[in-house]
Amino acid sequence: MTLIPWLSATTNLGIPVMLAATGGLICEKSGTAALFLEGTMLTAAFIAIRTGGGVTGLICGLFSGIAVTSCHYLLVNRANVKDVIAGVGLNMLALAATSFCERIAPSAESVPTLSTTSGVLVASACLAILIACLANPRLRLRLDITGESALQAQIFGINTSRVKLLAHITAGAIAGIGGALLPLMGIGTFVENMTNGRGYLALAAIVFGRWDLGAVIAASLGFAALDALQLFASTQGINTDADLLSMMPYLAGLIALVVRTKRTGGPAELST
Amino acid sequence: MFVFIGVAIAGFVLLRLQPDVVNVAFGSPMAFLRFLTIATPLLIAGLGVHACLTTGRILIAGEGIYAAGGLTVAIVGTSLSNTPLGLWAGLTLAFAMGGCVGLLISWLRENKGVHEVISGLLMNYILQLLTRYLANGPFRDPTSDAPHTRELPWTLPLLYPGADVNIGLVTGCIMAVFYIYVFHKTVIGRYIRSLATSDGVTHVAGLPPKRTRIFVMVVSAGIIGLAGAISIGSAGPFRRFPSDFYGSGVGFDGLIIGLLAGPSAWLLLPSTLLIACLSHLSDALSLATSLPRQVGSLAGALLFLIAATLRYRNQSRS
Repeated sequence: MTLIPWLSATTNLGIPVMLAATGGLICEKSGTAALFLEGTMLTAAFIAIRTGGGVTGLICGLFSGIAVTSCHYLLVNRANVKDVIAGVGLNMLALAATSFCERIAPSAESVPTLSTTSGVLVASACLAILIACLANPRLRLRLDITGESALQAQIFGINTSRVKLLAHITAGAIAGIGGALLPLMGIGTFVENMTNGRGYLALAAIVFGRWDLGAVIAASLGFAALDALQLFASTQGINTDADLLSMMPYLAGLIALVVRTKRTGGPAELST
Repeated sequence: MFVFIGVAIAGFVLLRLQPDVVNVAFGSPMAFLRFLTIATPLLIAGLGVHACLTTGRILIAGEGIYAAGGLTVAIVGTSLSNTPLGLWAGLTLAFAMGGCVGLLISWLRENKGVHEVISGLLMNYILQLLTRYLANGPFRDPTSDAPHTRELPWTLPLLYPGADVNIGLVTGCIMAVFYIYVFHKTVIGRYIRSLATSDGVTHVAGLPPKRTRIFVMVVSAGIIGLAGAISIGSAGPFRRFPSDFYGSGVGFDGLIIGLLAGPSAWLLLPSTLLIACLSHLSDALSLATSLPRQVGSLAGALLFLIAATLRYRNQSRS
């Protein structure tokens, strides 16, 4: 028995979750709960396939991610909706809208995909840009202060609305790329509810990683490794129930949240 | 109120454009009874979610709890098929099953600081896969090719012969009246409601806020489990738990009902009727036209966002 199929599946499933988690991390650091990740990924996956896949699909996925998170920004910061509720609402809307469109006109069975190497390169580029941004003390400080106390940030002359908007746009772009890569590095078509809770796993990875970039990446890859177990078992002919194996990442996510008690390390502005 | 006016206008437009759809949905007594059958679990689930919302907590795991309650009654009902207690044991254990899930989520929230929405969403996936595994595996009906549990030997007492409207509707209405009375007319109910804004009042009244929130979520989740059990126990000729029961959407619809009703329990009934109407009309619309059934989910999601925006906008203004 070789572990290469498992590692390959972990890479293919892990990159989208990892990108979504890192995008969500930026938004959470600005003090807004990133519950919209599931809907952002789903919309981006749908748009990526509908726009023909390949690099075009990836770019369109990125912009669709920004569109979703911009809606979230408007709901939370302009309409004063609780961030958690707005995220859940957008997720429900994304699921309903993509399912509705899929039923009316099904997606093409196969569009040009991206190789795993391309996916790794795109993810590496995203992470490099993100690390460079976070390494900038001016940007980092503005983000951290806004996340800790928006009021104090305003006293220091920081435009918190702008910081939050930029954090939302960054999160949307990165999670959008992650969502687009999900079908583009995989089956090359869109399936209803194809993210299947991976956005929530990304969120669990953020909490488990205690808002630390390295730990968040490690946690999301860990969840993806568990997620890939089912694919690995089916390719290896191992006789286990698919539903039980599919349950593993969610169970691990829940246990991870329990182990990492009392949201230590999290921005103080996050809704409690 | 704006939501109800908006939906009334949308309904009027639909009536003008597609009179056949409205006729299919409400044009006969049987069609109306079908509507009441849809409304029954929604009323009970909405009640559960609303009770939890009044304490400032969001019970988002309703979809999973609803499925868990349904599976529990299917397993217990078929296991105790030879005793007259099967029905009541099934309903009680479905309530207990829901309560256990609620206890876990609220305990994590109050004692471990895990946000109930994140743990609830993960719990939804866990319960979805677990119920599917159990209905498809250990408790699958061996005599059937379709993945579902064995048939229940009983059904809930029917209110009208030939239709699925059963005692669950009466139970839901009684529970709603009781709930409105407790939360609006009793001192304890008012203290519990004050938890949505501050722990202080409840604390001064001698009710420990954490334990009160846990208690309310346990009862709320139990009620949603009961809704699932009633749904399985009243499924007319089926009376089985199908492995794809999870996707019925009642749990999320319950959340929309809870949000639409806002802080007032009085609005629970109109909210339930509105969502049931939406679900029923989307079914009729998909039958009469080529539109997929998902149009109901789409409208529901939009309603959710509008209701949430209005509710929390008002809160922030006050």
